[in-house]
Amino acid sequence: MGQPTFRALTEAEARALAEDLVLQGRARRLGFVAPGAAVDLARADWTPAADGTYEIAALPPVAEAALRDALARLGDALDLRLVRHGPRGAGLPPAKGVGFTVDLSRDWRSSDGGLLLFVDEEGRAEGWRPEPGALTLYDAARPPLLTMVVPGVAKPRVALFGRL
Amino acid sequence: MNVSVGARLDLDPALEPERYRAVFRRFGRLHVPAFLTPATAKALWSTLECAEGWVRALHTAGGHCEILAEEVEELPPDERAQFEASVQTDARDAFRYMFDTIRISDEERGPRKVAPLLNRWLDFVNGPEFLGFMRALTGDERIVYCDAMATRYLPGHFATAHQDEVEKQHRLYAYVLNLTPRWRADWGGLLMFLDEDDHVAEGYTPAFNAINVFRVPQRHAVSFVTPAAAGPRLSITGWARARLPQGG
Repeated sequence: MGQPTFRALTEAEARALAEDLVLQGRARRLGFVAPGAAVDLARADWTPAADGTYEIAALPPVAEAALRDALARLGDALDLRLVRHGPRGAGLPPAKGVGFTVDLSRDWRSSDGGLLLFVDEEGRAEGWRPEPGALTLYDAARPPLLTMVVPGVAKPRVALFGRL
Repeated sequence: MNVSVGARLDLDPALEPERYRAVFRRFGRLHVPAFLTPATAKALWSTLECAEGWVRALHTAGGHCEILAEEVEELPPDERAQFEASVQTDARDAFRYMFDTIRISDEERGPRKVAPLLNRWLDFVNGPEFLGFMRALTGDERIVYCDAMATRYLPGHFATAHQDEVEKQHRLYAYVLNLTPRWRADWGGLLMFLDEDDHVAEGYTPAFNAINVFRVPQRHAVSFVTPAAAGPRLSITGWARARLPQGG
């Protein structure tokens, strides 16, 4: 497995993310994890916890150190875990404060489901398909919907999930 | 006798399509709540709820085909699952769909009979109220005809990304009138507009008596309806066209 590489946020990027988060309740930054490294992370043979999720402690040491370093740039990340959705899987664990996900799956299409959708009170939605390495922050009071991965999708949808 | 047969078909008098035009022209799509009078919407909903003759429309690797929905529903569970899986197999790479429909427009319907209120809907969408609404909303006086079909999405149904362009049909705009009394976004069935990166630029959760109108061509999809959906996703949909259908 290659060593993950995380690109530090510049001050301006961090400010822009914070502004988006305040104004829109969500913010997204591509390339937070280098796409190749994201794919390596997704492929890693991690051992799930009893509840089926994956904790950072189960990561290979290099990845763990790099992740902790990267997430420290966002603040004190809590509850970091890997979430994996197979066919018919949907939803995200609950979070408080600011939740975040880092997409690790590649070659993902909207037709595969597993979309991160932000739906307002009137039912209007906006959102993203997974892109490897993309960071999404959101106000946990207005969490996104992670739509069902459609039956027949061969690979699981893999992402890091946590809260700040 | 179905009490909906003699129901009036009326737009909500509070609609102000000219006011929405600027937004429509900017984005090429709009979600308009409270489109019909409540009595009209309720009558149409109850007609669809009770309607017979739903046909399962499928687009597989072999192209478009239609089967009586009840024939599919009657398959043993294993066979049915296998059949549905075969539709989904290559859905990520191509235009695929699976949903139930009742063709209302004459040109599409063939010899099948439809409920009287749905027949009247076809007249209604080609009458001054509806055509006037569409022209006022879009600012497009080329609209001369609207077609119609009822659609029913059950769990497992979907339509992958497509543009709605069909040769020689002269489609200008699509409309989707939602007639599902209660729907949740996590049940799927969202009308989603996809940007050039395949992200969801905008999506509309089905809402009772709301109409979605959008310019054609425009890349969109209906998301997979999940097994959690507590009922069918019902709507009447169609296209506003620049020409009358052949023979019309």
